[in-house]
Amino acid sequence: MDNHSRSRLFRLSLLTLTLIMRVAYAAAQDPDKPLALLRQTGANYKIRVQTNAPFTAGARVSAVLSNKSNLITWVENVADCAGEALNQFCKELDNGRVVINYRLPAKPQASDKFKVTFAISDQSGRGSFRSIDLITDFKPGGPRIDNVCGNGLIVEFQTDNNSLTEAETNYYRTRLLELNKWLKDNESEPSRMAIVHVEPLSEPSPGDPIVRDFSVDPAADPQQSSHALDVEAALDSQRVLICLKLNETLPNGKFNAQVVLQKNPPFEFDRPLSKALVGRKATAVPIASKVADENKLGLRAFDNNLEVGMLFTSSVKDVKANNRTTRQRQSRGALDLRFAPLLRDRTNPPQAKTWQLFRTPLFLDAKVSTGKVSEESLSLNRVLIGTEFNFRYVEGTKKGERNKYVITVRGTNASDRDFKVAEAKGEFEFRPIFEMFNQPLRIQHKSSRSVLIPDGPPVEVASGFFGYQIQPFIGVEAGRVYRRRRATFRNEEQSRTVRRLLLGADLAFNLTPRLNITMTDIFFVRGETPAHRSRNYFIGTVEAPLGNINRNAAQSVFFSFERGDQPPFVSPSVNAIKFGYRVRSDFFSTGSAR
Amino acid sequence: MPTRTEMKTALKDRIQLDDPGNFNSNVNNWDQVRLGIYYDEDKELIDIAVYETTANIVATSGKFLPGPVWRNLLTQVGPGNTPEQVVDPMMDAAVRSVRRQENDEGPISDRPPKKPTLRSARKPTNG
Repeated sequence: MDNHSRSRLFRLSLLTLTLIMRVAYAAAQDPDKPLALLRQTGANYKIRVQTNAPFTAGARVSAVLSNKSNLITWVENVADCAGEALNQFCKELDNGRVVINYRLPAKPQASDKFKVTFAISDQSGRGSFRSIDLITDFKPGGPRIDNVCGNGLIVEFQTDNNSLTEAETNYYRTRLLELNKWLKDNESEPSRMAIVHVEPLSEPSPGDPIVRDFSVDPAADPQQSSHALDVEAALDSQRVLICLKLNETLPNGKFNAQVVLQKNPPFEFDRPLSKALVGRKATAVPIASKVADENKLGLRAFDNNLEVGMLFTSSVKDVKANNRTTRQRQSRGALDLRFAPLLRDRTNPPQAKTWQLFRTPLFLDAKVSTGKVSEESLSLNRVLIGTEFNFRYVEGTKKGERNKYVITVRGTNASDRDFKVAEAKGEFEFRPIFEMFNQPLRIQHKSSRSVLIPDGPPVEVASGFFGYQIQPFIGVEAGRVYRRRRATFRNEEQSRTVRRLLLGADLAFNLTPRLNITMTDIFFVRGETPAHRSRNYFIGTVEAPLGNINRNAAQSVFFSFERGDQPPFVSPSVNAIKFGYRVRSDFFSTGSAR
Repeated sequence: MPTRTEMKTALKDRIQLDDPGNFNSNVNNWDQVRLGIYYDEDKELIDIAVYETTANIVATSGKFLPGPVWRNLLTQVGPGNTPEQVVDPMMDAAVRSVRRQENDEGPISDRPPKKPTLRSARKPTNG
């Protein structure tokens, strides 16, 4: 190696060393997220300020303690700690970082609002400066509600420290033991552990509830008693949930809730916990037009456990009897019922690459009316009772591997209102949903950071102008009419055995956000009628949203063409063209029912 | 048992794996982007991602999520939520997880999830 090369290597090494030192110095200078923590040791309370700043020789530490707008103490040059003197700042080093301590004479009051301001300066007067609020290691949270707590309010006790030192671990454990002791003290008389105030925002106040019981998570022994805390598990997760079970039902709408823990709780809970909450949502008001619109002969969609529609009509009609025409009033009632006590119930938690079972053990779909079952009846007078099992397989959640496969197995007993004609059949349907064929426009968007408000919600913009969904399906139906005690109508002439194969596809295309085309085509091969084996059903709709009329209403024009027929093929084939204008509005909604 | 930061990191890793395109465009504010953006507005995919992330992290402590706990978790997540918003429900579920017990399977919804086949899914064991 010649001199020139040696010199270059030396300069390069020197430059690298300088860079490393500068980076280390810069990192050490940055007092990242300093904390002013209120801590309790026995009966003493002290403030520990973790400056997270290194201490260099000759540096000076200044500190100010204030409570609201009142100055409590101001020390220009904080001395090193030697014992713990009351009402005095002192400093010490923890892993080379400056820690400032201050011992309070008494427990802070709930109304206090302490603030610590500190400066660490070198001989030239430069350095770091921060002003921070006094907080506790564990933060109280809530109250809030969820399904596991049921009719109760959850109060939290949590922190998030991912790099616990041994001293912090010990302190956290002490706090959790203190909380556990308080829980144990209240085990026999939970009604005195907290005062709960509930203030509904849209209903008269029913009076404040009383805590009738409580549970804690993580519990030491959830099988036996949920009153005792698993301190080590809580130390791991740094989170404790206390569910206060109440004797009164919480309001459904919006309400304010306040919890004041009693009987000397851990000092972190000294302040009342208040929050605006929203109770369980009320079920949406049924859409009146939905019942009249529903003219499907197959099993209708179930969106709720129970849907009941009732209709009463009364009309005057000319009736001929004994060669005399008289006017008679005819009154009729109709009932539309959909009932499934357990609707698409999951048996297993959601997982990819496993078959997921959803079961509807019993469904009842009935459209019946009073009067004689005839072709002029007000209703289909049809009752479907059955059971449905739905198996779903999701290949994965990774982009490009999101194919799904859906198998539906259904057993149905279909009969007329009086159970004079009844058939039992089993149905099987397989529907693959391939990710590459299911890219509707609504999922084609990109997200990026806002330029004007970088900390605000990101900007979402459409990334495409053409969306599509293609879902093929195949199914079979097999069954038998096992009872026929009534004369058939004109269109019911068919064999007693039902054997059908069906093939079809649902297609939807979004040609820009302004034009949607949807199509469904089903081809049936019917085993029960050798003379006319194949049937087809097609419905296509073109819809052009015209935009919003105002904030609460939107409009569109549509064109649809429907041709063919569907099981049980007892009504004449449809061949209809519709062209229309549709307005959707929610200006009557008050907001409470949604 | 995870801390909140560990849970959030696990969710971040999952999202990064599932939709690297959208994640990389929002590296700094990935937790402010709606889950619907990452998962095609599909609640089923979001449920799987959130449940599996939570279940895997509690499984390292030999625990699992009982039926009422995972059902409650699923009611609190959807396409409109951001990752930051779902970390707390995930933490709640983790805190409520219970230790696996041998020879005591309990009701079907409370059992540790197995890898069911189509056959086993059709014939649920009586709880």
